[in-house]
Amino acid sequence: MEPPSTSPPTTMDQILAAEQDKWLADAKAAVKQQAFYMKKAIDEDNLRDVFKYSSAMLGELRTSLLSPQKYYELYMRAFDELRGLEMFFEEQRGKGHTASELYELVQHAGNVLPRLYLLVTVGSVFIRSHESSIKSLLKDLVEMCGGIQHPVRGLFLRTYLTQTSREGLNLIECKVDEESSTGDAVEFVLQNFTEMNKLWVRMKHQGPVRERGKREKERKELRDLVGKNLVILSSMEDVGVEMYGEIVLPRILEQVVNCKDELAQNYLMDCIIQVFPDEFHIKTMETFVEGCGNLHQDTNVAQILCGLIKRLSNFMENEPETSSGLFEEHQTFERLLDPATKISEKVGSQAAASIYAAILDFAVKTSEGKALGRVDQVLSKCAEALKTADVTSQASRTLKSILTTPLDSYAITDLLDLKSYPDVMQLLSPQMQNAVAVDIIEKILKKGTIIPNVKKVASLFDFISTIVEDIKSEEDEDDVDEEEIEEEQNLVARLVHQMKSEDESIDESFAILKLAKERFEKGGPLRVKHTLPTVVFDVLQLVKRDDDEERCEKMLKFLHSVIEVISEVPEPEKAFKLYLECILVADMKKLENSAYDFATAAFDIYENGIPDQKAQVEALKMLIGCLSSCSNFGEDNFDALSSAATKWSIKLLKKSDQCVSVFSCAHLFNIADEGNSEKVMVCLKRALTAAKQAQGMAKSSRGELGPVELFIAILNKYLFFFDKQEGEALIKAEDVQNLLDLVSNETSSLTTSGAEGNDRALKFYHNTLRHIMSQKEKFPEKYSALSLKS
Amino acid sequence: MNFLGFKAPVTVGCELLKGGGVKPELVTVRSASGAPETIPLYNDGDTVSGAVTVTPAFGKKIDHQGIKIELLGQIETYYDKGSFYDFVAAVREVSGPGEVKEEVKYDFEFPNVEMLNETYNGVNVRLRYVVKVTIVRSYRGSVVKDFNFCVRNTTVLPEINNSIKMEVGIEDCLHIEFEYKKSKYHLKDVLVGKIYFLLVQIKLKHMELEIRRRETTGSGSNQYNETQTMAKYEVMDGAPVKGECIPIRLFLSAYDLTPTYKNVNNKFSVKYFLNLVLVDEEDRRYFKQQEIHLFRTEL
Repeated sequence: MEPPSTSPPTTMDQILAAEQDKWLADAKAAVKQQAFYMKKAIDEDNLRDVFKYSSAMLGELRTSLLSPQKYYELYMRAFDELRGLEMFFEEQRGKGHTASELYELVQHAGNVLPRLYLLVTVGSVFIRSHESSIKSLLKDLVEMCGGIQHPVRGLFLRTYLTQTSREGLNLIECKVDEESSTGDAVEFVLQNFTEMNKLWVRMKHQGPVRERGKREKERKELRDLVGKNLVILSSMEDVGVEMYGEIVLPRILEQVVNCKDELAQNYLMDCIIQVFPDEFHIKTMETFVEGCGNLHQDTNVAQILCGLIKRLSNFMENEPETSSGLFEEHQTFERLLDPATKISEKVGSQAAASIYAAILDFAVKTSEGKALGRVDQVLSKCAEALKTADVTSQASRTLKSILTTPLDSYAITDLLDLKSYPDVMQLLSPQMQNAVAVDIIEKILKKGTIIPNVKKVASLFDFISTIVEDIKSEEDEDDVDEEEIEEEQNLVARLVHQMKSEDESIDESFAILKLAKERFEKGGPLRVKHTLPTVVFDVLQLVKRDDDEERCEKMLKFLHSVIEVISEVPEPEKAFKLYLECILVADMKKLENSAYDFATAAFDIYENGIPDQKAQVEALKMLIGCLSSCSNFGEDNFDALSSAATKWSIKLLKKSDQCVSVFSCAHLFNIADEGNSEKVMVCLKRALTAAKQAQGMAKSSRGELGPVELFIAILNKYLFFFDKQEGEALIKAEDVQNLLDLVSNETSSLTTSGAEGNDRALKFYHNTLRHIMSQKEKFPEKYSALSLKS
Repeated sequence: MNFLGFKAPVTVGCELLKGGGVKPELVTVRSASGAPETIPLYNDGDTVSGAVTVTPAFGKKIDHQGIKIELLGQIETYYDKGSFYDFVAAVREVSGPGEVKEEVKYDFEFPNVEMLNETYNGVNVRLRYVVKVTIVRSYRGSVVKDFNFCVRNTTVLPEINNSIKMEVGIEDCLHIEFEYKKSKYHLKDVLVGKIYFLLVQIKLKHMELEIRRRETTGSGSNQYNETQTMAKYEVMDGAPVKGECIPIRLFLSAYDLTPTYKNVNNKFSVKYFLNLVLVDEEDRRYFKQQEIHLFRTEL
């Protein structure tokens, strides 16, 4: 028994490749040998033997064994030899043979393939001889080649014809032959092209189905043989746009459409786009696009159309002056859009989207002034076409680019006139819509664009409605990502600042903000809490600027309704703060009634809407701060407000909070006023009591020192009023001294412990002492009664 | 004639001329043995004249019973060996019995001979024209010498020359329509035609056009048909699809053809056919044969 072989297994492909190499080598060797005899016969001027051996040499091309790639190598080998043969025939013509004699003689060859190679070879000699009209010779050659129906052999024979006929075509172009016109040359190339394409397409159906993929790959390698004909047509200088539109293009398209093969159609349509001049495309747009509509369903029509549009767009970029005139004259845009619309209905969503993306790009690049209208047209058609389609994720991405492309090219304010923009957005998934909306907003913010009137603002809201409005269905409720919403809404909020009249018209700006509020309200509680406050602030800005009292009141009234919405979210603290803002502005504008209204509303929220005591402390602090900044309240109103504030301060739960709040209230009262000074004192004393109580509780329950800071703070208040008063109308130096002593006692016990709170208290205390000393220096008389212990 | 190794001590030569002493054109034809021979060419109605020279071997003389020169048109059928049929026979006695001692020259003339049939070398039959010189001898055998010449006749162009057009096929398999521009061709003609493929369900490999010659000899139960392929011309390579049209152009001058002969003296006929053959990948042959009429317009 033999041991198993250790050599690596040879795959079928390797075997096939090796066979191919061998067959090719054999065929090449045979060509070489016959060529040798042929050349010998040429040297001996033996016409009969030349025919014999050249036929034998060309007979090698009859092989069916080689792959197209290998066949090409063999063809090139034979092609080289045919050059010498052609020269020989040329010489024979000088030696008494006419070209037509030779032309007949080569046709005696019994095998069709060698015969036709010889015929084409003599044909080129014949063409040069002027013995016959070039047109009839070309026609004869291209027709006779019909004898080869084998795809690969036929393709190469016709490639040979293409190569050798160039000279004839040139002669026609040089008008050497009166009987032959450019039309004849074109006809010849078209016919050869048609036949070659038919052969090329036929390759697909040759051989077993399982090798279809391999064959398609092989076919792809041969495509330039077919495309070459189009290159030749495009290089004929006498083929003007008229002939192109009436003959060349329709004929090419006829073949491309009829071959019903997607590989050929994809390649050839692109070939047409690439090889012929821009001007031709512009002037024959309809024909081409109509052809696109008739292509095979597997053909990528969208890609072809996009290719054309891109080519035109590039033309615009490279030669803006020549092209724009042409585009307008020939209504290129309109001629593209209508048929593209038709095509887009037949293709998938991604393909349709890419068509519209290309047209949009074209519209943007080419049509300057008219562009925006055109952009809108494209968008409208796009929305229409894809309305009922199943938009894939890829298509969505393309659609998104359709929506974002114009953002770079146009001012946002202009884009807002695009009525169909939101319609296209509707095609996207909610996430995508959000992304586009965010893009738009970011663009506005980045450029600082002002959206100057109600109409534009309304349309902007339409554009970004997806993030402004709450469009999610109930089921999605759980998925709500609050952080994301917050992020988005903050952007939206910033956007509000960009919405204002450019000429500072308050009416316009107010109308805009009113609209904003209306739209924001549709966003539901999750959104309004982020967006409405901005509206409030912006309206307040207007109020501040406005001198028209009536209008101010109107605006403030409007704010009332806005803040009410916020409070109902419920977002009471936010609403509360906003009310305070309003109070300040209203007070500033001396609109007492409005201010009072806001204050009552704020108080109402404080009482009913802020349950958390920490928040209450905070709110109260702000309220007191706010009230103390107001200066235009009438006595009664203010009394009511300040009393309420004081009352609430006393009601606070924690003694320390009470203390702080109450001594803050002291600032609410104007000490110049007799009655009020008393209230100040009440407040201060009340604060002191609260502080003591707090200290007492701290000591008894927890054994701690208690809030020394409170005492220091109260001392500061005392000092403040002591300083402000006239003489000693309110606070006696004695009272201050008592408090000072108390504080100094308390602080002395602090020094031992090193807790952080204590440090702070000490620092506070020392600062206070320093203040007193400086005051003593400045006002020695007033402060003489105060003595500092150490 | 050379019997028993005794060669007659005489050489017979013959110069063939046309009327008025004009030298005839020479043509090269294939002889019965297959070797080419170059012989004079005559047409129907030509005068066949010339001079026969009889030259005895040096220093010899021959006695004879007379010398005659015959002009014969013969049809020879091979299947019936040795059967000659003379459809033309004329004779000139140029000398009575006598003696030839030195070269003698005998002029002869057959004026305006009717030679309607053309020289033909077929498979089973041959038609030939000959000038036969016989030196009659009563003993040692007569001396007979043949001098072949060729006859070709031209005809005028036929007035009616229809195209051959026909649709043929195998149901659901292959349908073609072929069209040959003419049904009658002269021998230097070009056969032009087209093959349209109307339906192709089989995998064809190639297509060729054959010119076949059918020679019919004898009659009744003794009729013999012999078919030869005179030309084989590939016209298509590969498999066409429906709608393709294949051009055909065949130069007849490249082949050794004769005109169509119809019932020559009730002895034989020669007909020509175009045979279109389609070969599929399994080498099956599909064919359709059409008779064409060949004629001669120039010599």
